[in-house]
Amino acid sequence: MHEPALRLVKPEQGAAAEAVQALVRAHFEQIWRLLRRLGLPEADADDAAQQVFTVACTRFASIQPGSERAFLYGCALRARAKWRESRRQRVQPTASGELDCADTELPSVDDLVERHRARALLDAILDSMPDELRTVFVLFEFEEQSSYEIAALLGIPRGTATSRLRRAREDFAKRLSRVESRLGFRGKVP
Amino acid sequence: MTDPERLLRTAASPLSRLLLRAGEEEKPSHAALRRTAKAVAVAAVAGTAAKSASAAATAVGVKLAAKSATPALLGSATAATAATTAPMGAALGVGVVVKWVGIGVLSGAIGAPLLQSAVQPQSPKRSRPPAALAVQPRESIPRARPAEELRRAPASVPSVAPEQLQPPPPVEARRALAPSSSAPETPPKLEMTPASKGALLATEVRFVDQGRAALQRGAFQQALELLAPYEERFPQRQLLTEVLFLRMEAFSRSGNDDRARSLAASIVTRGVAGPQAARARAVLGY
Repeated sequence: MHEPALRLVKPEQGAAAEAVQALVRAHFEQIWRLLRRLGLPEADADDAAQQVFTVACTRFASIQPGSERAFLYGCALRARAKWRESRRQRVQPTASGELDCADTELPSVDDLVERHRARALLDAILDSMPDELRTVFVLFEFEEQSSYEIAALLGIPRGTATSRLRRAREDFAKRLSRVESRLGFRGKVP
Repeated sequence: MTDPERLLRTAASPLSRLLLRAGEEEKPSHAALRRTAKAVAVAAVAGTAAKSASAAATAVGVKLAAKSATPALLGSATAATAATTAPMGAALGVGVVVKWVGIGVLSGAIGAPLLQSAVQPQSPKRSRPPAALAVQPRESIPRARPAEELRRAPASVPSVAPEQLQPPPPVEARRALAPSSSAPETPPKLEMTPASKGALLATEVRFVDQGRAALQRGAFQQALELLAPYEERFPQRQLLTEVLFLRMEAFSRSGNDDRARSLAASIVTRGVAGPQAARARAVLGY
């Protein structure tokens, strides 16, 4: 009786492996970018993204059709939480959530032309935001998750997700405005 | 409740747009993608090896079942444990998996006869013929259970650990099953009558039609919002493929290629056939 079972399993496993490779192709960039915007340096984001897809591979059978992205985001958020926990002992958070850079460290307007400088400034702003607001902000603004999807992902009511998003955007705007005033940014993009 | 537009599209501040665009456009290196693809391939091989070995453990259980009832139960349980252990082990490496599966096989082959005498006094409590358990199709042991239970779980919640995939049965199910405690060994199962299935399907069709109509009108965002609560409202998900397809089209036509590709991958990897699969492949650029 066990022979048919063995024959049934093999092609299915091959298909699963192929499917996970397709998942890697379709989602690796998004997962990596999510991890980056949530504060992981490039090298750590590489490792964490790899972990995410390894977990997806081992648990592929339990992923609901259509929920692959949510599953991967969930794994990414947990990977990021672990990374943050391991880093907490090494890095002290900035006092009162202020931007951790002096005026002299801020890039000039000209420098902002360079994308990596812009990203560094963006990440500095995101780093200074409360974590729960940052997560919702990144998922909505960069990953284009709806408030409904964010609520499901974080296990919170949709109203809470919407409220966090509103506060996150206000917080981001406030911090950005401080940076603009310190930069003397006049609203011109080169 | 409608979501606001993304800041990248609506932000009044040029600096805000500049920063958000810079963040959105960052991409991983090709090397990182290649490394991950390789790691996943290795994990898949490890998973295959582990599953093959656990299937062997099941076979051991079947052989033992021919000799005695209790060893078969032990063998199956050990095989199931090995199957559960295998996916976790795969993430840790092939060596660890092989080690654990080896232990599973050995436990099935050696542990069962050794423990037979210790368990025998309890075996009369099992009224079901053990052979029936031993010859249960393998598909129903490791795979069907999480899939069945996930259908009842809230929509879009990523599954994490096997234990989290087993929500308590619905209140209605518990009430309905309470009087029928005469068969305690039968796991609780919520059966639907054909009439209720038909009514549910009709409701589901109407729900999906609303999303399709919005899509045909060119109201892509509205279509997505209408379809968003689908998984939560219809745990049976009889029209899931159609919903995935409509979402893919809505994202594709509204210019959100990332999300469209994501859904297309979901459609293709789930073995959907026909014109929907062809369209999904086109979105993926196959």
